[in-house]
Amino acid sequence: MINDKISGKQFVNIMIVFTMGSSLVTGGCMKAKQDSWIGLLIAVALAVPAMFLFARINELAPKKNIYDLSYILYGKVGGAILTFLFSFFALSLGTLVIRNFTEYIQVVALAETPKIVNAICMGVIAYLTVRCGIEILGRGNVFVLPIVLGAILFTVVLSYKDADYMNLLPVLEHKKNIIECSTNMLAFPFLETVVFLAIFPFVETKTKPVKLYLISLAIASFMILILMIRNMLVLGFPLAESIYFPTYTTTGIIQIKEIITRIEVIISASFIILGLVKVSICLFACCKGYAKLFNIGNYRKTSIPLILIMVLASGPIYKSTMQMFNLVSNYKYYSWIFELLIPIIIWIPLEIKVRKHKLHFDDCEQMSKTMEKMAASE
Amino acid sequence: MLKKLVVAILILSNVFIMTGCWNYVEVDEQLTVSGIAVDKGQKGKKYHLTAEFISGGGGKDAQMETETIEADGDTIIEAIRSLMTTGTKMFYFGHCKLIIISDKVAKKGIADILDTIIRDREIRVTMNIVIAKHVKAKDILMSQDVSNPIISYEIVELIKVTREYNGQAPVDLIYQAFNSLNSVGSSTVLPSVELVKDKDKSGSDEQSNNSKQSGDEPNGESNTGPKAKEYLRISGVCVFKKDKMIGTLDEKDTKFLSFITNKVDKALITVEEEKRPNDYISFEVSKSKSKIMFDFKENTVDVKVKVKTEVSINASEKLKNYMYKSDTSKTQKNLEHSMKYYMERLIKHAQIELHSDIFGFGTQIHSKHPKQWKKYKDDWDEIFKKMNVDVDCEVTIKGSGIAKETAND
Repeated sequence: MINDKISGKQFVNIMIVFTMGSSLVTGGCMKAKQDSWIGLLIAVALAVPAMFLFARINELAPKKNIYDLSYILYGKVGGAILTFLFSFFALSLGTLVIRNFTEYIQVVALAETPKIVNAICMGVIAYLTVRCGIEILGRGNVFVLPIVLGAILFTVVLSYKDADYMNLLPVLEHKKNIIECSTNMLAFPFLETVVFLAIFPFVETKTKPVKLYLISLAIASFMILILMIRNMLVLGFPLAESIYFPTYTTTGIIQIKEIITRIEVIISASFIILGLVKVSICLFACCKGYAKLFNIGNYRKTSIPLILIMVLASGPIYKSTMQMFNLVSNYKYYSWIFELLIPIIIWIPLEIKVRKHKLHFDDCEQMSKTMEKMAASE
Repeated sequence: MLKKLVVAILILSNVFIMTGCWNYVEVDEQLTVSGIAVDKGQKGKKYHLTAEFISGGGGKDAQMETETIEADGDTIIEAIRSLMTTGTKMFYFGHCKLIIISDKVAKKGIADILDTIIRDREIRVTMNIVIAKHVKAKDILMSQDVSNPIISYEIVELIKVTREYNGQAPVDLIYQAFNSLNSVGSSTVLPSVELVKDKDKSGSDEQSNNSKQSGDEPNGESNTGPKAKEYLRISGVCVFKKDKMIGTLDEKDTKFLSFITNKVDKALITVEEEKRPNDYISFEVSKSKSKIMFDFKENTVDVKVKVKTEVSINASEKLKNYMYKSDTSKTQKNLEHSMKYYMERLIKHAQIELHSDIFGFGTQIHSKHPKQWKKYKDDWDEIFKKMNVDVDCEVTIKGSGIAKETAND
């Protein structure tokens, strides 16, 4: 039957896939040319405090998702506004991810297939995932992730022959762009893990949440880093910056005699799997949110309208491929509201309330009960 | 039970509903293009495109055959589209391995051709690119080769072999050429291919044809024997400035260019013996490393090129016993001297006649001394022309084949 429980390990797996997802496709931000990898490292460093923030919220109230918390802390009106904003963020993120992947499919492989067809296929799978519960995502990921990671690392090793270290020099020439690059990558993909605040109550684990967040950040950023450096080493500049999907092109360059050639299909297959997980997680998050907002008991009931919105909006959301890639670099200007502001305004009153009532932090169960009482009394 | 059956039928029915996709093309409905040649256009169009495609028949004795087809267009893509008006079949460019550009087109600029190839999703960026020297590009594609019926693939192999064994043709793939065309501090060199006419060979061909006509030979291999009176040759490189071709280098210069840019795998150097102008000695290069050092001055740069080479003696005419140290060191000095001479000549040639930084000195400065590069970037061409280049060769003789000394003449 439907089982909405995942273990800590499964949670880490899902989060790795979620973080890698679309940035492996777009190859990360290459604005700073040779120095982009420094930008990536700065982005990871900046993401660590944010991970502590998300984990702290989960640690203080492990049985409550962000929507419950906003209702408890800000009452009916405030809670409704926050819930609406946050689930809108999850909805828009899901739409962007669907568009990202359908665009990828159309640009590199199936030029004449309408995007909506691929979007529908992705949407059906995301809907089924939500219908069957998050456990299926957790279990599936434990099986799929090693294969995907293995395939990607395999292509990286094979690229050794084509790499030229001169492509990484000179270091620190584009200093001004490094900051832009790192903020871009901070907003997309590292801080997008904020949507896990909505589904953390599914996780049953004794490990501290911060450990889960940091492990998945480390593994995902490592994968993005080596792929990014590999792409730069093989393609060189200005080519690496001027093509849309550098990972795909780089893998296409691999040629070991006549035996191992044209293996970019491995990369495409891995990308699609990563994309599906990302869409499913976004769907989970916004289903939960809208179910809370409209007071629907079973959150799965909202999944059909929401996935329909995602699929249908993914087409007209951008006019062209160029516009999509432009928006990726302007995404940070609106995403920080959801990725940083909302978690902070949830965390501060939560921390104050918990301290005021002098609750023991480890005693999570008791605390959440107290909080329910608090909410009831209010 | 019934429910399961219905589900099973529904799943199986997908097999019939979900066949194919929008981009579905039958294999026998498409023509596999193996190479394209770009010439100056006719009838007022900019480009004249010739495509070589594989038309292997099926059946028991399937044979690889190629045919060519031509069309004009103002862009490469337009020309490809108008190729399609000549037949009903689709062209498939996934196996296209070569683009030949005639020198006339190359002199006008190749940036838009490279852009088309990078931009198209079907054409691969790992294509080889060569320049047809003194002939039309389509003539090269239409020439006949002895060993391989597919000319494009044969040229690709030729480039590879020349690079690996003769230390030539440094840049060859499209994506690498794209990068170097766009960089300020280095100029692109692309391998050039030419047709060599061999009159003696054509005579012997006629003879063999005559003997065939006399009917003495049994049917078989002689039918597919070489009819060609001309054959393909990779002959040095063409030098570009920005995206326009401005000159050529012969084989020898190309070899020493590879020595300077550190791209030698294996190569053969032949030099004249000291004080004996008609005696030659050949060396097989087994390893070569170059190091380029810069000394920055007010308005100019001093460049020092250090080449360390390991060789073994391959052929020598003069009587020498290589067991004696003095003989070996004389030979070594001589080789060092001649290598230095050739490299300096090449650098002077590039500075004075070509005005083109084919060695990538600018890129090297950019990578290793980014601060200094800012000073030079804007008028790099002028600085390159004026800079002092000093070449220093260091040769180690590692062996002399399987013979100790040369036979007495």
